[in-house]
Amino acid sequence: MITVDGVKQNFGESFSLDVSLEVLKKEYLVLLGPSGCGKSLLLGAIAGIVGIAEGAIAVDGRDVSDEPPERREIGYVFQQRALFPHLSVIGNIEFSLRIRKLSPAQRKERVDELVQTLDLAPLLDRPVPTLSGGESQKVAIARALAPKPQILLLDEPLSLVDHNSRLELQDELKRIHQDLGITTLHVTHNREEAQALADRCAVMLGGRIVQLGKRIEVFSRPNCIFVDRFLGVGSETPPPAPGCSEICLAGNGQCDRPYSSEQVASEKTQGDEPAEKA
Amino acid sequence: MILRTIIAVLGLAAFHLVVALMPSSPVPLATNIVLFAANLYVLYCARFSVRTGSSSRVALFALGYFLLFVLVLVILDRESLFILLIVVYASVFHVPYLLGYFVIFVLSFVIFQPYSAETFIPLALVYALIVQAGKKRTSPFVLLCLGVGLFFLVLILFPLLHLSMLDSPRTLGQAFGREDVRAAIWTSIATSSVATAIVSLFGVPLAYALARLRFRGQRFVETLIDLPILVPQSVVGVALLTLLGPGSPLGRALETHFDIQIAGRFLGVVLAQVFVSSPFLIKTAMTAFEGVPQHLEDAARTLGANGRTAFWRVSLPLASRGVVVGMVLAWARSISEFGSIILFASSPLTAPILVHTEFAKAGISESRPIAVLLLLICLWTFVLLQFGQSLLPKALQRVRGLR
Repeated sequence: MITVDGVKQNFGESFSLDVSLEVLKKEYLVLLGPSGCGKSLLLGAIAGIVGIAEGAIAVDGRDVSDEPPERREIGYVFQQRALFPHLSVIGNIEFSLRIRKLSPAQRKERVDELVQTLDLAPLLDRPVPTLSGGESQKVAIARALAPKPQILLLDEPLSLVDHNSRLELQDELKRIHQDLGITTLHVTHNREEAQALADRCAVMLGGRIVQLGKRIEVFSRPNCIFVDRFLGVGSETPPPAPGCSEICLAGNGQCDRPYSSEQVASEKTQGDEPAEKA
Repeated sequence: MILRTIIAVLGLAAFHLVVALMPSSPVPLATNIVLFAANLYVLYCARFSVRTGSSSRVALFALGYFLLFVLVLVILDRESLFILLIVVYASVFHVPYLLGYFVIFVLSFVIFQPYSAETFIPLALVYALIVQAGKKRTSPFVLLCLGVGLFFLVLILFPLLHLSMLDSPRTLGQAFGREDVRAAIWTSIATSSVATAIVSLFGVPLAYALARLRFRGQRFVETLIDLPILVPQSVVGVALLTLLGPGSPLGRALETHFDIQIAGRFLGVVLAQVFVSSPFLIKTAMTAFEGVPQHLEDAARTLGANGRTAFWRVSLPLASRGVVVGMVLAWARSISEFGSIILFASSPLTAPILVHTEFAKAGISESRPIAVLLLLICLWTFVLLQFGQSLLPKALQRVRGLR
């Protein structure tokens, strides 16, 4: 559904993004990694708000690398919510519908649908700046879903939410994914979220993906010491790959493991199997 | 307690008796009796301070009384005023908030007597602001900074306040009745509005671009924007005259081929005003656009808005307050422009230039009503425009608060 093919971009001297990734149709892929590993940048690149220097991004087989964000038809939920403070809750939800010049009746119909799906009725009269973290996140999700995108990108959707709302929102995300069958890419640094939601997991470090696989596989068989530590598995880890000096253990978010094309290929073949449902 | 009260009252009575029986009594008998009554009241009020037991409070009360005594009775020798003041003083001493106003009142109406109203109003306002700001648990240092700053502001505004107090509504009405005065004020308002519209048309896009882009040479562009603030007004006038004056090649070409005259015309006034007012709008609007987080625009883009739609529906509404402030500043700067206009386009007369020519012709008393009139009109327009902003989305502050 989303093909990230050898996407590269430099961000200053010390950090660069270098990723290939295939997100399957209707799967829930969780992109895990410590802060500063480039996972949000990758998400931004897919949505088109972060530029890329090399490589290509395709959505449903269509190359969108040169398309502006507004023509990619991808729903994006920002870490900071990015709700429009000058608009009402409804104004936020129907923003995309107004831009698509839907008639008031059509807009109302779609907004009613979303209000029902996400149980937003009690929030409709509240000014946007007074919404709590969990509430504003629900509105942000509704807003992203309004134009019926095929793909939903979630950037740390549960990070600014208190514990109770987090569990509730987590269930909500799972339900939305199952009900709508929408391809979802969820970025987080929290392994519990990955365990609760993911069909597949990708672990990122230093701007590259170090392991990609089914959730159970990644959590039971980490392929390097970093993944093992980061996921807190504590299993018997395999010896470092040739060329890997375990520089990641220094904790400054770098990885010097050679990123071989075979690995990408093997991940691609893995991807051809039907995704396991959570 | 009762004993002490009796001693105090008797002591006071004895003191007044001595004053009355003095060979050349400094106060007449009637005044002395009223004074005695007033002092009894002061004593009655002071008992609260004594009862709270804080000796520093009592000392402060006595000090205030003594200062009033020296100031009003000894130096100014005004008994009736003194009686009035001590009664009020004793009444408000227990309410520190009112005591402040009392001190300001004494300062303005007794010490700065010829400037009483124009000192009392701003000082009372400053005091009210500080009291109001200090209600929460604020650090005294910050309040002190506020006080010093506001006092400075009062000093700056004092000449204007004094000016506006001098003329009666009748002289102002007379001035406004004059045809040339009305025409000049109208010219000022019209040219400033046109100039502001022109500056907005070009300045807002520039401000938006500079807030959103990062490119080499940006600092240079930003310095260029500030340039008109730096250049003396007379230099602006000479520069414009050199370029577009009737003797210059460009000015002559415009006049012969397109029948456009700039120098000494409405257009010339507008041009000079555009030149001097542009930095105010561009800089303010830039800050406003920078205050709109990039991710809000990104969000609009992922929701299907192209760059232009994102600007109209998100960035501009959220920056609108700042943009309007910039427009108000540009308008104010335009209407106040004098130096370049008098050189480059001294006709049609704008109000600042009329004030100057009247002064040159007939002196200060003739030009003052016009000056006051101009001041009042500018002030009210300014206040109205600032008030108008509150109708715009509040989003900017809210967004800042969220981050």
